[in-house]
Amino acid sequence: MAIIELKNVKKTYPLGKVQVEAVKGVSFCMDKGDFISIAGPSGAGKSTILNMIGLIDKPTEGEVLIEGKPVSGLNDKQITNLRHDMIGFIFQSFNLVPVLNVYENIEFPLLLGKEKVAKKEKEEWIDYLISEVGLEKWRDHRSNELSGGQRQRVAIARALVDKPAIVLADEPTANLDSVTGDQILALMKKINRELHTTFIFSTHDQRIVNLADHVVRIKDGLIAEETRSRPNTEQSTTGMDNGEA
Amino acid sequence: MPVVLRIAFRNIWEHKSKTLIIGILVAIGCIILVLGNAFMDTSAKGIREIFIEYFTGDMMIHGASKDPVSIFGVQSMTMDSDTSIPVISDYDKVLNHVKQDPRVSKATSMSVAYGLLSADIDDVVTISDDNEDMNFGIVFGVDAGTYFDMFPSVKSNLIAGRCLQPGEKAAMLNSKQLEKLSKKYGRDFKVGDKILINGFGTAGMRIREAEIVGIYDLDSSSNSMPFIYTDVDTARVLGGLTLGTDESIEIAPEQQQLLNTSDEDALFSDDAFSDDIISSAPVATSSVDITKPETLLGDVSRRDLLNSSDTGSWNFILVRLQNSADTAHEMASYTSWFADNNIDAEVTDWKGAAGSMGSFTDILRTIFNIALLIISIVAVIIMMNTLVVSVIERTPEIGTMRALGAQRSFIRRMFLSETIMTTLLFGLIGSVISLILIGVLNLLKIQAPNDIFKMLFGGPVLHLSPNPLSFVITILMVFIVGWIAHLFPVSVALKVEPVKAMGTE
Repeated sequence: MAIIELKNVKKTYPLGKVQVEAVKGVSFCMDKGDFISIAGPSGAGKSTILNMIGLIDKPTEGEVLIEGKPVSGLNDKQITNLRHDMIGFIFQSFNLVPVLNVYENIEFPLLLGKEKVAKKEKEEWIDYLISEVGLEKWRDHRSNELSGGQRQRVAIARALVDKPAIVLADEPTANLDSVTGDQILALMKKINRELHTTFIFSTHDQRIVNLADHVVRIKDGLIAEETRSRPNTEQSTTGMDNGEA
Repeated sequence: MPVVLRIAFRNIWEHKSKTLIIGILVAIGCIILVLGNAFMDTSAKGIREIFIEYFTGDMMIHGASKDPVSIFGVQSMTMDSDTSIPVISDYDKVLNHVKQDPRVSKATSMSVAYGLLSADIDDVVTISDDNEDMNFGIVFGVDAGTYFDMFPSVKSNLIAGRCLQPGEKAAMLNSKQLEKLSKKYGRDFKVGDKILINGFGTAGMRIREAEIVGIYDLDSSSNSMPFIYTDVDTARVLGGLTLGTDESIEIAPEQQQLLNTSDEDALFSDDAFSDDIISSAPVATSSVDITKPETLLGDVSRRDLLNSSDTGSWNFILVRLQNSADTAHEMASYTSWFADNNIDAEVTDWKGAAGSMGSFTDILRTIFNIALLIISIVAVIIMMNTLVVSVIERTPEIGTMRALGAQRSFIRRMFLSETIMTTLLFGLIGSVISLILIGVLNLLKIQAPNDIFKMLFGGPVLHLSPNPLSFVITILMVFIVGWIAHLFPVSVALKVEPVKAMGTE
């Protein structure tokens, strides 16, 4: 079963008196453990699709299914819980909480959950993540004391701290230099392999597209091309899907 | 520390300029509130002590009246007959009840009249003269046997002479009244001199002569009150509490005809005097004894009766309780007893007995509270504005938190914590500054420049005493202001969708 499925998803935004159709009907599935790239030029609608997958935006039409269950009937509280339990976010601008240090930023999602984690266990897990992203020396530093690459590493650790099934990354390398960008990508690929976490990228960075084993190319709000380098459980072919199927 | 409080505390620290704007507002509000309340409490305490110790006791029993009654008289906007101070019906029964009450410490009775002081029968002024030399006094006709025991301050403040003695017909004046008399007549007045008191009111004008037996000088805060202490009979006569009879007069038809005449020409025409009225009037034939001119007046028994005081008439019984805190309970008990015994009397506390002077601090406090309400509204608007700006600036942060799984309740708690921490912190700072200011003001020993300030200061020197309850009220008010101020910004914050965390495409 696909971990995420989009069924003929459309999104229209009001722009003054005009309705702008950002996503015009998109359908595709993502499997657990995929390293997926939603690629396309600026304004193609890839970030809008990512937002709807991440349950932070609602489709105007169509349905998003998480583990086979539609999310359209859920209220704000249920969606927030689902988002907390299943999805981790890596933002283009890192979006760390400025008043918290590295450790506290990574810890933050754990404190929002209903489940209580033993203090020692929590500390060990966060410190493991900090060491994995190579920020041991920066543990007690605030975000304004970190470089862009270091901030993005914190964001990656924060996205993984709740052990989510899916991590969404919106242009994760856009604000990084190429060397740092490569390091960040390598780190995410490593986590993908070791933890089987599904990574979904919105990007126009060709390096990410090259690394991805599932690429969905978006153009003018529609899927222009969908390619898979590893077999899909339900849909193993490479092809186009403009949501009309 | 919970993450909400941790974030709130650090945000307060990080956004120092906004915190300071809100904090300074809160601190100033607290200073105004604590200082204002300390001032009001001092003033109220001072006025209360003056009246209870010097004039009213803890409660006052008086005759029933449709208007409020105080020791100054009936508080009415009209000058109809009902403005005469009512007497206590069944006085003896009421006094006996008071004397048997174990909660009562002391009690005394009093009647009140209004008078103008003068020293010469040819120079008696009336209330209508509108003379700036007018020496007005409220005449306290007291039961000398008990009054000075209940209000020893009068005795202890005598600067010349002595207090009235039971059965003695005399007067005690304060030094300011005598100064005024001296200024008018160009001579000093001393104990043993005689003065005239011209009583006025609904009973008409009556003049009584009284010998000055004592000159008092109450403390400066109450010395300006124009009280003349006399024996009760003098006050009764001046106030119209005299004996008399009501009887109907029969008027002859021709007299009635004359009274009914409305035409002035007809009234003073020759014809008017040629009728039976004049011709039928008897002509006195007896001779007048010039050694006894009073025989001219004929029977004066009715006049004498009208000049005899009604010895059973008392306007007030003033009561001092063992414990002033029992006043409300005692008043309820007396009201109930009056009703059960069909006695047409009422009871009031010192504040009612002090009349408008007793309500002075209440009025002042009301004005203060209205001003405070306006300041609070302005503070809420400024705080709200500052917080909304903060919310707008932190929109990506709020969106990120929401995207990471923070419920709306978390965002609400975060902003509430920030607001409450700021307001309480600066509320405490404001309260401490207020305490320091109170200490400094007390050290300065500010003298009251005039009588109004003496009343406001509760004495000749300003000495503020902060009330612990006012601190609690201040912190509570600060909390309420902060809570109200955070409502709108939080509603703005709660509308921030998690998608705001994302950069626009």
